[in-house]
Amino acid sequence: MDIPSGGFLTLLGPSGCGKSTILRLIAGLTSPTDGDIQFNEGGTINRSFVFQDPTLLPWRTVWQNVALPLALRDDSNGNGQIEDVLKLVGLDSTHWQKYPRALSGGMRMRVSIARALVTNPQVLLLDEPFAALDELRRQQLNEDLLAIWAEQKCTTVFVTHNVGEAVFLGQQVAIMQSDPGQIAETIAISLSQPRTAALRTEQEYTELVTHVSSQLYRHQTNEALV
Amino acid sequence: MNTKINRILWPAILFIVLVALWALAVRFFDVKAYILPSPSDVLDVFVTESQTLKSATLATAAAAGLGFLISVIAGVSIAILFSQSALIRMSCYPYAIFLQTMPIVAVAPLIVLWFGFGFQSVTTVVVIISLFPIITNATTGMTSLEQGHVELFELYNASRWQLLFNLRLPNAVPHIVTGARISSGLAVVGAIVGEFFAGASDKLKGLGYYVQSTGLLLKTDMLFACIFLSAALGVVLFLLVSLISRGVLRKWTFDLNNN
Repeated sequence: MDIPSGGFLTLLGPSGCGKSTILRLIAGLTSPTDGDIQFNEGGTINRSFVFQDPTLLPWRTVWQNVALPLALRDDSNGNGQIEDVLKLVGLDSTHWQKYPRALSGGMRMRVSIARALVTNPQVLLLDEPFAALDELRRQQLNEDLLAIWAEQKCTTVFVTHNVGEAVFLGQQVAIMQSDPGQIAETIAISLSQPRTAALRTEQEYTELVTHVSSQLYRHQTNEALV
Repeated sequence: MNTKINRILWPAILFIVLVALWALAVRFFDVKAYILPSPSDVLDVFVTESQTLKSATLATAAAAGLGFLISVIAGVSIAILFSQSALIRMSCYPYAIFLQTMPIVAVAPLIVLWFGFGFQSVTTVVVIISLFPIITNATTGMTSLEQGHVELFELYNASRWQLLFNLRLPNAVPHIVTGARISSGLAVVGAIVGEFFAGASDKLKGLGYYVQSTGLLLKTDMLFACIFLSAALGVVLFLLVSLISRGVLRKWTFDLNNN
């Protein structure tokens, strides 16, 4: 499987098919038992990971949470960068000194994304980040994530089990199957950029969702559906 | 507001009733003062012996306070060491439990033998008795980390020190506070026990010394005053720690004071 530089790939599949494992392999959180992962630039690459949970440190404010990766890397990039990413994810300065417990689930996830962006990653990896949010918040964050991606131009891999989300976000959708976990098919999504909320009601989009949905279903073994 | 008043009012009423019953019982059954002094006898002692009682309370407070501080610092340091290696933790933990299960009354004479009579022995007893809750609680706090948080630090190749100062220690703060509260009560018990055995030579004799000497001399009214002051001292230290922890925990998600 190849992921083009600056592209947006969504990994779609049922629970337990290894979507997250692929993401963790790319992130370096898990070591491959066989095979390897190569990056164009060679050597180390600046990767960021957005977890399923926001994983914010409860004793740090929004600002301090976003500043954490810089501190861990002894990077004195400083306040400008933190301010920029916080604004980019849609958090204005009234929220910066709040603790995570004072924020809604959606806002926490925005902080988590800001934290991932603060190191200027070349590769952004997201592991079902919006699965726990309600449908409206999830759609809003999908739109905002695309805007962020367009601005940051970082290669993005997004894991989800939601077909609509996968089609809306991805330039490519990789469909996975379980037993054994592997990529069954990669479908190019030719919807034009920038994609906005209006796209969801267009026929081209709904047809693609139907197509991807049926392909996803076709690739699963019977056990995976029980 | 109403409940706040009630919380003070009802225990106060009960106190007055109990003291009245006590006074009546002493008079009615004609109990000897060395068995059970009347409330007014005890009150008299508070007045006539006020200087002695004041300095004794201060001496005990000093030993309990210093020993408690040493326990917090030593306990957190040991927990940091434990958090760095499962091997160290496994090797040392049984001995930490041993420290806790050892009856302090049995060890106190040994400590007097080693450190001599006086303040240093009393403080040592305090440390021994109040150290364990800090160690266990702090160790739990530093090792029970959320998987996601650990992976976040892994992702940015955080060093051992960065992990300690940015994740382990802050994560352990609420646990350390819990340990400190338990220890604060134990510290006063330790000081009394320590003084019981080792407090005779100090210029400033503590409450534990007077508990022992007045008991032997059948000065039961003075004994009652010392017991009352020891308990009150424990409450004061506990409240002090609670007050400090309330301020410290404001930053953390959960507030233990609500329990």
